[in-house]
Amino acid sequence: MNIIISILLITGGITALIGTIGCFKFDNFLARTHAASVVDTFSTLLIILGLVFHYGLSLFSLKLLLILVFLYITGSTAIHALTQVFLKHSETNGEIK
Amino acid sequence: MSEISMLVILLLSLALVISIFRFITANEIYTKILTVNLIGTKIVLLILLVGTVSIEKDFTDIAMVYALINFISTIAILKYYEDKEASK
Repeated sequence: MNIIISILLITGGITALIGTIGCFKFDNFLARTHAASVVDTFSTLLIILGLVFHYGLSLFSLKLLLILVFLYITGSTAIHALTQVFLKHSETNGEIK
Repeated sequence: MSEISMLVILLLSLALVISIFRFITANEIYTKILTVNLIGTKIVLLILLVGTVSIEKDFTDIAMVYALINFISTIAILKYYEDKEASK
């Protein structure tokens, strides 16, 4: 059980690092939103799942799963809204950067 | 468990420093908003991990409130810039 928790947590941390570096390296804005979405979804899933396995069946785990569902919905929605505003601005200016 | 949490906290802190550097060097507003959103998500994860290391274990409510405020602030800033671009 300890090995599973370790693998989940460390993979989540490395994924967060990779997503951030990708956000730094891409020169296209839409590609950058893709790299940020990796942190918002995959890294969150792995780290919170590892913490749920650590705490076991308790009220903490319920709260953690609630935070997971909430971050999934809001993270995707925020980046979607950001992309919509970017595309609207690009159409107004007549260019896609 | 404590050592693994410290290792993951270290990885997330490194990612946080890279995000802040990205925020400083970005020259357009959309990348800045994206980076702020990224920093908020990683701070939520960091609060949860610090809750496993520290003696005080009731950090999940704080993380939940932080996630809420992060989402609402992102949407509010986007709404502001959308109106600003539309009125230009």
